[in-house]
Order: sequence, then structure tokens, then C-alpha cells
Amino acid sequence: MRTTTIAAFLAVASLAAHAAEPRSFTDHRSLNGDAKLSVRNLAGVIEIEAWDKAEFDLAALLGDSAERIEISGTAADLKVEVKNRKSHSSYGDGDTRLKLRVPAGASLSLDGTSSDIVVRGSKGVLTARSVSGDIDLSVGSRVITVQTVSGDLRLEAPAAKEARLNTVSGDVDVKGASGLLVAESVSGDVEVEGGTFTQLDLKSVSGDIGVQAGFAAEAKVKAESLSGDVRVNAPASLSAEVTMKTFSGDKHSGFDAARDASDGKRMVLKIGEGRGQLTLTSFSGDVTLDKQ
Amino acid sequence: MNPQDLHRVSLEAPPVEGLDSLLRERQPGRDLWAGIEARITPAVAVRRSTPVWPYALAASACLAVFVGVLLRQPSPRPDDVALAQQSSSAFEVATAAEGGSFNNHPYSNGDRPSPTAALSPRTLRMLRSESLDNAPALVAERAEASGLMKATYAAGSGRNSHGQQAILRANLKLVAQAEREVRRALLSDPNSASLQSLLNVAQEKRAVLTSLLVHDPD
Repeated sequence: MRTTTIAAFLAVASLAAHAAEPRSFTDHRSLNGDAKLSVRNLAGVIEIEAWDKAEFDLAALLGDSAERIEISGTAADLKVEVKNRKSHSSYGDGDTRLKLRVPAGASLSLDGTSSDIVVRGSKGVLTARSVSGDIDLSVGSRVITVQTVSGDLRLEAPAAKEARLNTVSGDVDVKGASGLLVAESVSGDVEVEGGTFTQLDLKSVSGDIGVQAGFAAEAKVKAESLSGDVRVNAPASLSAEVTMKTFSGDKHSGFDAARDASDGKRMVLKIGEGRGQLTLTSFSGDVTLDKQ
Repeated sequence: MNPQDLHRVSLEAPPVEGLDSLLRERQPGRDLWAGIEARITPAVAVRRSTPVWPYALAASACLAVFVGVLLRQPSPRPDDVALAQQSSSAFEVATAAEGGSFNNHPYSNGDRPSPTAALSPRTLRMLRSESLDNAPALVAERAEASGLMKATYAAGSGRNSHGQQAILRANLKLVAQAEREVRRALLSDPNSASLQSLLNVAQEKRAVLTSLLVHDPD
């Protein structure tokens, strides 16, 4: 009986030691410069760095929940997926860290449930989704789509021409994008800085919205919140018809402009030639338009 | 000792002088068993004083618990989604039935408090990634303050699947609350395209979250 007891304790200790031990995995192969690459990792980190080689390089540390890494496809269309055990311990480090180097022009489709996603230098079409992971992108991509539930989104994309960002409770922070930007959050703040936009569509139910950017000649800009403040800092050379609406908040404009219409809830300004259209709305928050 | 053993002993050991002359059928003159028993009994008693079964039982229990934790599977909780939707729908129906009962400033103290909407959405910014690992606990704390179901969100821990489900359910609650707030605002400003647009955002997010909960990969 004593032998059985000792054996049981040894088995437990062995399992615990096994669970705590990280495993590494590496892979290197050819990947076309314009390949499609999809990466899926349930928990941990997906970190991607672009380089100027037509090669794919992966270095991974597998968490105790990961069973293996499955790589399938061709040099034109490659898939990387972390396969997890059906059941695993709730203890220990279940996170799997993937560090990939891929051709700069590759199109990326990245899926994480609780994984953070970090991308640097990519120039291809980029799609990233996570539930609770943060997403941090510093890329040269022109088309970007990002979705999270509670994770924050940070996008620095000077070459972006079309970016669509969605979150429920995360914040959205955009720097340097231009062209078309659509950003939605339910309770997070939305901050946009830099770039020259032709179309800007920003919504947050209870978060604040802040914009400090330039606008193309006939830009269409909408910033809407239910209870958050809406604040836009525009260039002094702004040419737009601006509509500022708030049901119970305050309205303020730093521009000297003719007021086309004004009442307790709505104020319409014609600034410059009035070519663009800015609509800034908050139900109970303040609405502010200032010069940069 | 049987005759074969005796024979082997006799072959291996040197002969003892005069051994064969001894009487082999002689009986002992007294009862020897009492002495033998007296020597055996204390030894048995000592062995009985240190039983190993408690150790074995404890080890087995530890092993069982550990294996149970290892094999623990997250249990899907579609009931919670259904409950959340029912709760949301019920309140929406109640709100619509009482149309216009809220005053012009829906966040003033004059509001009729709802069962689950004691706070404005702004005060419900609960899930920020810098405290992601503590998100369920944070949500539980806020949920308690706002009257939301505490137990639902307190169950998760860390980034495991239960934590994910808790995050999804918390966000679903948050979106449902936001949706109710937008509907309340629409009562005050029914022609607002902006509010309608925000309502669409909340509804889309609710559909996405419900889908994520139902199809939770774990």
C-alpha cells in the first residue's frame, strides 16, 4: 500500500512537471511574396513581422493546452493552426506564442480567441479577429479589417486606404490612416489621429470620439455617440458644411462661420466653401469642433 | 520440515556427533504455545497501530481531484444567452408599453430605474484589456454594482474557456444594456437617424456575440 501511495504522488508530480514545461516548435519554408497566410491560435500571442524574403519562418512556444501546430497548404496559400487538446488543465501556462516572419506582401488572416495579435511591417491585405486579445498593428497595408470583443485596437497604418475596425468594449486608436475609415465600438473610446480622409464613419454608443485629422475636399464625416463626447480638431483650411447635434449636451465650434441654422439641439455651419460634410452627433454628450 | 529437506540438510551440513542417538518421539514437558503467542501478539499490535490506509485514501483523493481538474470540460451555457435575451426583450416590451414615460433627460434622477439598467452605458465600461486576466472578477464587481447577475461572471478565471465565455456573456449584457439605452433615447428623439444607426450597431454586436457564445470553439 505504501508503494501505491508513493507511486500516486510521483504520478501527480510528473503530470505537474509535464504541464509546466513549455515546448518549442520551428518551421521554415518557401512562401510566395503575394501568398495568402492564415494563422489561428486560440490563446497566447500571434506576432508577425514582415521581411523582404519569399520565405516563411515560424518559432513557437507551445502552452500546455496546445497539442500540436498544424501547417498545411502551399507556398501560395498557407495555413498555420494551433491544435489544442480537447481537455486540459486550467492551471499552468496554456498560452501558445507564435512568432512568424513572412513576406511583406502576403495577405494575412489572423484569428485568435484570447490571443493578442501584433503585426509589424506587413503590406498585404490584413484581417485580424480576436475576442479578448488586444490587436496592435503597425503596417503598410492598404486594406485592413479588424474585429474584437473586449480587446483594444491600435492601428498605425500610413498607407491605409480602407480600414474597418469593430469592437464591443475595447478602445480604438488609429494613427496615420487615410481614405476610408469605419470604426465602431459599443463602450470603448474611438481616437483618430493624422491622415486625410475621404470618408470617416465613427460610432460609439457610450464611448468618446476624438478626431484630429485632415479631410479631403468633399469628405463625408460622421461621428456619432449616445452618451460620449464627440470632439473634432480639423485644419483651419476646412471646407465643409458642419452639422452638430446634441439632445442634452453642449455644442461648441472654434471656427468663425456663418450659421445656416441653429436651435437648441442642432447647429449647422458653413465653413469655407462648404464642400465636405461633417455630421457630429451625441445624444447626451458634448459636441465640439475646433481648429488644429 | 519434510523428509526431503532433512535429507538435503544432512547432505549439506556436517554430521553432528550423537544426533542419531537422541529420541525422536519425545513430547515437550510443558505447553510451549503460550510463550510463542505472547511473543507474536505484541508484534501484531505494533503493526496495527500504524495503518497505511489513510495515506492511501488521501493520495487517491488527491489524484482523483487532480485528474478531475485536468479533465474538466467547459459546459456550454446557452441558457444564459436565452435568459439575457428574454430579459432584454421583456424590458423592451415594458418600455414600449409605457412609451414616453421617461422624461426628456433619460439619465437624470427622474428616470424610472430598470431592473438591470441602473447605470448609464458609460459607467459600464468594464472590460478593458489591461485588466483582461481579471476581467471576470472586474465584471462581477461592476455587475454587482449595477444589479447584473454576479454569479454568471464570477465563474470564469483567466484566459481559459470559462473566462472567454464570461467575457462574451458580460459583453452581451453590456450590449443589451446599450441597446436599451438607445431605445430609451429614441423615445425622446424618435426621428434621430444617428440613434437609429447606433441601435443598429448594438443589434449587430449582439448578434455577433450571441453567435460567438453559441459556437464557442471550446
